Amino acid sequence: MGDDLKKLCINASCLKAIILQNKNLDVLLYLAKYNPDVCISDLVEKFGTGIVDSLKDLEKYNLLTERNGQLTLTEEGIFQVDGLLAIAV
Amino acid sequence: MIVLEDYFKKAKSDLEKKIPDYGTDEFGKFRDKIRVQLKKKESDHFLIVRGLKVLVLGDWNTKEKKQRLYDLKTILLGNGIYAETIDKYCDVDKKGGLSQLQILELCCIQHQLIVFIDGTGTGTLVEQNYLATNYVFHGKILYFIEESKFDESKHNPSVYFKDFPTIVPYGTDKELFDKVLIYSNLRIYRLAEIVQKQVSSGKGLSNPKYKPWKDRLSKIPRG
Repeated sequence: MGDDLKKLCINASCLKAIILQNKNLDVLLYLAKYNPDVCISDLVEKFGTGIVDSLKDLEKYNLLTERNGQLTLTEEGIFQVDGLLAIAV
Repeated sequence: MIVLEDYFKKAKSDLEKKIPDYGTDEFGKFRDKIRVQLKKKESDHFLIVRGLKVLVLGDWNTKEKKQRLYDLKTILLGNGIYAETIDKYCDVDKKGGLSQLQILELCCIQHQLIVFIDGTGTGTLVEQNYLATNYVFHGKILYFIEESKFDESKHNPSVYFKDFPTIVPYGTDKELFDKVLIYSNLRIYRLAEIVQKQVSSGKGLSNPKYKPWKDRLSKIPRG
């Protein structure tokens, strides 16, 4: 359990940082609004080429998935964005 | 039988309605509002709670029982606790691929709390046997059992569910739903507080030199 909790500490602190980083929050909101009709090229056009690295981070935290260039919020992603709205709206 | 609307479908549809169109001033204001709240220290606890995972386990052998597991999951999700059922990892009706035991092992490691609903055994025997013999998981199991079955243990303390240290009896389905929510909330909030204290104090678990209790105990000389 100790190692499990240690991993949790790291993940929890990182998740906040990841969401606040660069345009990640914009991306999450954008996907929540428009996916499943969103592909990587749409986001590059809107947010610039730097967004590709952000997408990798969000995918690493299991907030979104990419298949054949098509982006989708995961169930965890939907849950987290729902939570973000709950704290602010 | 209680049948609840799928949490994710509803949440996604609500998000589409609530989030303003991209590129408008409203979208910018909306995003900034979230950003401000998120930057506050108070949001840490909230995020940790939402980052912890609950696995709802129980009988899958009838349509009603399967639905009850989905409903329990939906209630937890709707109340800000991330919950999953085992079907996220496999098709429970299909044979082949990973064994149920392998999936169970994967699930138990990935979840911080296991809500186990006692059943007839036909749908939960593998889970029950696996969890009963792996003590390392006992600390994160809440075992829910019908009151009538629980009462039988008065005269027979060697019943199979003695293997689970935290046993919660329930009367009706409504009581089961209420108790699963209350007990899960208490456990998850407690765990989130522990995680948060460890992060803020820089001691214990967030200390790079932290040693799990298992390692520490192994060094104690035995008489």
